[in-house]
Amino acid sequence: MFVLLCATVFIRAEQPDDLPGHQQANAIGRKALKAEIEALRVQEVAWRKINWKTCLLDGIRASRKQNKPMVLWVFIDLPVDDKRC
Amino acid sequence: MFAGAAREAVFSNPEVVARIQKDFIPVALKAGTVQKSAAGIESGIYRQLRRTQPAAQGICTMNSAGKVIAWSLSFDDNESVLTFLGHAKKRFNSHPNSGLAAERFRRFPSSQLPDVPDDGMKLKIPKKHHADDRCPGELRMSRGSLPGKIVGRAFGKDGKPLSGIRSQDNYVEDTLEISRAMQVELLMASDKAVGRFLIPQLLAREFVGNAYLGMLDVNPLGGDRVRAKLLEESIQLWAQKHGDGQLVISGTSRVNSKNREGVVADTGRKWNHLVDLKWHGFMNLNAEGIREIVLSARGHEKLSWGGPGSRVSPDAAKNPVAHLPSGHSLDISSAVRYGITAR
Repeated sequence: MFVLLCATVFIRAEQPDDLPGHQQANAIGRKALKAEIEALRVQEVAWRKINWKTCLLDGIRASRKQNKPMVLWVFIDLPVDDKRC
Repeated sequence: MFAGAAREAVFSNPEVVARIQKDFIPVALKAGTVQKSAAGIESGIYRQLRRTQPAAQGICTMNSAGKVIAWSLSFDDNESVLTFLGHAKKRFNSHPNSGLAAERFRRFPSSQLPDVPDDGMKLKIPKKHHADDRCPGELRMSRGSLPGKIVGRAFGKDGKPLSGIRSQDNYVEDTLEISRAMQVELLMASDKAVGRFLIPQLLAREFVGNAYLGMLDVNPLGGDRVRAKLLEESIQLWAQKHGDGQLVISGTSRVNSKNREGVVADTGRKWNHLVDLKWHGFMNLNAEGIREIVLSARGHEKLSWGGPGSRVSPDAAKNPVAHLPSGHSLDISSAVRYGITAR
């Protein structure tokens, strides 16, 4: 009886439905999940209103053309171009 | 901390945004690039930055000759940011395209450092990069990598997302890089598996390591890069195979790190960050790698930064522009959601 119980528990533990999140993934389709993720995104973000250039030469060219000084924001980076800072 | 604090307190201020849009050319440069950029046709301009900068990170103004007008690391108050920009504009008007002494402020205008005189060098500034001269500011991603995006939000007790999105404590957007190696490992694991299998740690860590609120300095999986001591790491993301190359993803992650202790350079750095998430979503594979990722995570997050014994000033919450290098204190405990997409 004990062996049977252990075997039942073992088999039950192997069911994917027991994994956290598995039922959610099956309950919601890919498109719906994508829409849910997009809904998290905010379109009007204050810091995005500044159109930062990343090339100094571009900056200087624009500075000369428009007769404006540059404002440079020098910040710590990671290997991939990151938006978190 | 500086960059996150500067974005939140300076570059999200509508008056500052309007002034920059009207009167300036904004350029964002990575501190590492400024420090290392020895080669390249704009190396002379980077040298001007290095010889004048009061610290590795800061806010700088420059004229059309590539000469620094003024640096500042922080500001007395919000009004001082606008005064700094006005001051730089005035100096530009008298020296739009010629040498001038670089002014430097620890905090504008009350704490000024000695000026750095002009070196007299006339910089040769080409109009653009030649084909064989790669721009140091260019986005670099390894060959075969899949770029991904993550968005994350904190939620209040009422179940609604917190609205203070200027702050990365409430709202984050970021990019992630699904490298070729991560994709190959996943393909191999999928090929071997019948039914479900554990997603290889390299890839699972890329997902989990980007799902956190706050600035770069509090990445729980940041390791030495953020001077973190890892207290807990448990990541189990599973993939269930379907016939059409689709993987259904589910699982959990729990990561917790804090500041290192006993390292002199880390004195005054106090933080602790716990991120506890449940994951679900989809990945689509083909023979070459990952075609698409749609992944969601929900859970709880606790983050503290600053407090007694830290370098963070108690005054920083009231006047954040005066304390950009160390930011303001954080004490967050909230429900969170993240979404990762890549295609």
